[in-house]
Amino acid sequence: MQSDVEASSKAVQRGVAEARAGLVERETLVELVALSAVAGEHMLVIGPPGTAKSEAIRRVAAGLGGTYFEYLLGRFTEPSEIFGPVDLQRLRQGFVETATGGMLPEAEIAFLDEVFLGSTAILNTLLSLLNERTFRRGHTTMKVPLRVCVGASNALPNDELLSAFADRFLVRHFVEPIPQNRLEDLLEAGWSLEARIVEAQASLADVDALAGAARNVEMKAARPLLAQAIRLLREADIRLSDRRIVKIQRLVAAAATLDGRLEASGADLWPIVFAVPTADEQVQAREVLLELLETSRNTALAQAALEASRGPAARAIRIVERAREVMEARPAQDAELVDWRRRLEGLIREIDASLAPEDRPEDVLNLREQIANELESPPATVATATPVATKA
Amino acid sequence: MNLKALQPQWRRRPQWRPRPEPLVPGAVAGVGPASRRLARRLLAMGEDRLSRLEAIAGAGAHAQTSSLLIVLGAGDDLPWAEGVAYLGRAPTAPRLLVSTTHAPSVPEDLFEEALHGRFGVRGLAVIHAANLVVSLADAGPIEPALLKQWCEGQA
Repeated sequence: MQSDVEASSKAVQRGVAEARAGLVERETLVELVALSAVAGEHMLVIGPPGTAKSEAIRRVAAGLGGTYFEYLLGRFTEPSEIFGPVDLQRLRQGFVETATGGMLPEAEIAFLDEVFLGSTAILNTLLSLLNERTFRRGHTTMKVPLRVCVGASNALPNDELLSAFADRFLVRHFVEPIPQNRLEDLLEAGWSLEARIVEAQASLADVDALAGAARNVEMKAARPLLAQAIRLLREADIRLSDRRIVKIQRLVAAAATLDGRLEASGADLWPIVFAVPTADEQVQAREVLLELLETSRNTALAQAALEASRGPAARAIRIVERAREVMEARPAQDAELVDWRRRLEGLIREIDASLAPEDRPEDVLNLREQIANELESPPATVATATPVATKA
Repeated sequence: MNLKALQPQWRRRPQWRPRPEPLVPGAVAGVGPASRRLARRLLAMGEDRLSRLEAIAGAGAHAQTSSLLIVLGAGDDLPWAEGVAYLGRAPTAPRLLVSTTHAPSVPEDLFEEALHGRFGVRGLAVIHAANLVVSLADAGPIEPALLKQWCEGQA
């Protein structure tokens, strides 16, 4: 891979990791925003209020270094609140133009909460902005720098017109409130999240470099597998529009690029699950495509690949990622050693319980050996200084 | 802690293949040296965690199963030791504990029925790598003194 594209890939990986840190059960959401940005597609997040959707998107924008616009739409939201007010100076000259400074038409990453509540006027303008990356309003016509727009809603729309608008968002991700077994993690993470500032690890130039590389990815090996996947979905009565089927290739190419490859393969098909329109159909798609997605893997988007495929390769990458984090966080205090060793035990138990020996790649085997050696040696205590003088 | 473990005489021994998706662990089994390593881990555990587990231990019917220990409990409480096998319950065969990573080459609901029919008892664990089927009928709370005695007896 060209060295500049490789450097961009590493930068975006760091940006994603930075954005993910401190979030609980929202890692897939962060990774899918990065995937969508590189693929040049938009994303819809469906989930109840208060599930950290906007926080996750904000953090991705900060991690990737893009100018960010966010707005909560309502039934009475005026178009000027999203696109900008009428430029009064130009109006005096007889032109109805929009002053777009700091508004959606100038954003590189955008988040529109309750996106389906927007008026017809807003949605019509949004359509060309999302499809053609062009803002048209009155006498204003301009190309927009938007890389990815994330729309959010509590539920998918039932209305036919809104469904047609929703179809412009290729990637769909459904979020639920945090499960019971992660409540303690949520409380701990939420307490420290506000104090944690996300630093830009990448820039939009990196995203653009990867997007350019993705457009030139070799798809010959992946295409027949993708066609097979579509046929399997159709047999299960999961219908994707022709537009959606063609655009899925962009997600597959983006996945390969983010994983550092110039040629897409069966390992990159997993985004197809996130292009399936409804939550129930996504669950069904995972079952139907289980065997086809078995080789799924992605070092930059490990959690998303795992969630889509549940395959051993993706699972192994995720385990390695977590194991490295834990191994690098060896505590300095004796009192924390017990808890740290307990976390190591949890990791090696997960390796042995979830990966058949024949499915354990070399990096998993190496980490397993390190963890086993640590657990089988007696807990080392931190050396403490012996006082040599007492106070008078 | 008496355990009934049998090596089944298969008319056609099932093959075991990696599962596409692992089962949630609900037990861990150690055979031979692994059972003693597992016992030592349990003995080093805090009382609080130990009280949430149940176990069954003993010797099998054949020489190659000189010692066998199965620990039952929630995944996060199960100990780890080198050489143990994790067991879980497949959705189609909820009364049978089988490998979390490998599935038999026959439908698991039929496998469960066949084993229960053959051994006449509900609540079985299959340790396929050692070709053992174990009755869990006598599993109970872990008494450290008894476990230590058992462990010393197996050395």
